[in-house]
Amino acid sequence: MSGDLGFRPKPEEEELKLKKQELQGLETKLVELELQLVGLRGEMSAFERLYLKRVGILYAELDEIEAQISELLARHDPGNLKAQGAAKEARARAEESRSGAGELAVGETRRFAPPPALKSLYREVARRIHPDLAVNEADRAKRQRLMAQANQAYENGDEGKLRAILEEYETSPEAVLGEGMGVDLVRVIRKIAQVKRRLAEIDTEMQQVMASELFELKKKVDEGARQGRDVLNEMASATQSQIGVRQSELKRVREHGKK
Amino acid sequence: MNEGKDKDKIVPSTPNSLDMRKRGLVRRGLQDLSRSEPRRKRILISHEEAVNEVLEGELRSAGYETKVASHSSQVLELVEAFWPDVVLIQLIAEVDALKLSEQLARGFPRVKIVILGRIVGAELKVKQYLQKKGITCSFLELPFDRKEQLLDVLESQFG
Repeated sequence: MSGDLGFRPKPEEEELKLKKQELQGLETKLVELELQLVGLRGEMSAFERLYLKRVGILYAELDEIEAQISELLARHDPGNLKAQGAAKEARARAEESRSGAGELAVGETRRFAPPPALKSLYREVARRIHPDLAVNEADRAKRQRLMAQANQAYENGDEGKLRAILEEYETSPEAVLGEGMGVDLVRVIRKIAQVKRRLAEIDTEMQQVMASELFELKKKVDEGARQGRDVLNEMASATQSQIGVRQSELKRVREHGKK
Repeated sequence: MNEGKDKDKIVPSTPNSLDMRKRGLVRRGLQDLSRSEPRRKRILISHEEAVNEVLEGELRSAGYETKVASHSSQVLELVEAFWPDVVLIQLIAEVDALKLSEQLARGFPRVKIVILGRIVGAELKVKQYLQKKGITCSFLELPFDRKEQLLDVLESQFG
């Protein structure tokens, strides 16, 4: 009825409404996927720390003993170029393992298990400050900075920090939107394009993470846990046995100059 | 994202940005782990299609690795590529099955042979013939009542 009286929405109004609906759906999806991605990153980095602490550090110890054996053998036989080369290689490998395992292995190894309240808060923060929902370049830069901080806060389980980030953005001038139908329509269309690009990026990153060796290793460890096995412990025991064997070798080389 | 903006983008550290040293330790763990895992027993099935699908499903769910040869002529080639522990030969034409068993026993003495037979009374004949040639094999009559029968025969191959 009202349409007959000339109140039918203008085509651009209808288009804007449709685009806003589309954007709303995409934003919800984006927030969920960002949450999944940051969760995956958190899980992987917690697993990496745990692995390096329980197994990596033992590889480093094993490599150190092997390097010492090779160096002693090389010292006993200075003319043997092969032994000299082997000692250099073994030392380089030991250094690599030490620096790979050393730094993180002494750090914290808590599991990544964010509580539901933290997840909800992260969703809210992402919904408000995601860089791909920016209205201009200044806003985008600010959102990028805050989003990175939010990701870090989420990984650390820091609810207070997440709230502070949200508050910081809500009170900023960039949070105020512009006006005008045409401008709005263009803005919404651009936002849709940005969100779609980011969705593709998230998908690519998740695929990359899931194709990584770290992910494969974690999968095996998780599968083992489902069968009641502690795979990391098994790996650590096997490496410790190797360390025992090499220590005996090192002792022999020290005493007799050969294995 | 926006062109020229990627360099400004703040990307938190991810497992993909693991430096090479950490990656090396992860790779090493994976390699050690695969070496310590017992290899699953492999079964090559030859060659009746309708039966193969059922057999393959049963064997996979029992934890075996399987491969199917679509024809007996493909079996030897697949044995070389797949290195099965057991070859299941379905006795359709006696001559084919006997010839294949002989070829397998000669070329791949490590591989166990189980003959699945539909031909009534063929078991004794086949066994006698192969025994004469010094080839040992097990025999299971098709259709078997329970999949356990098949699994029992297979397990007996591994002592």
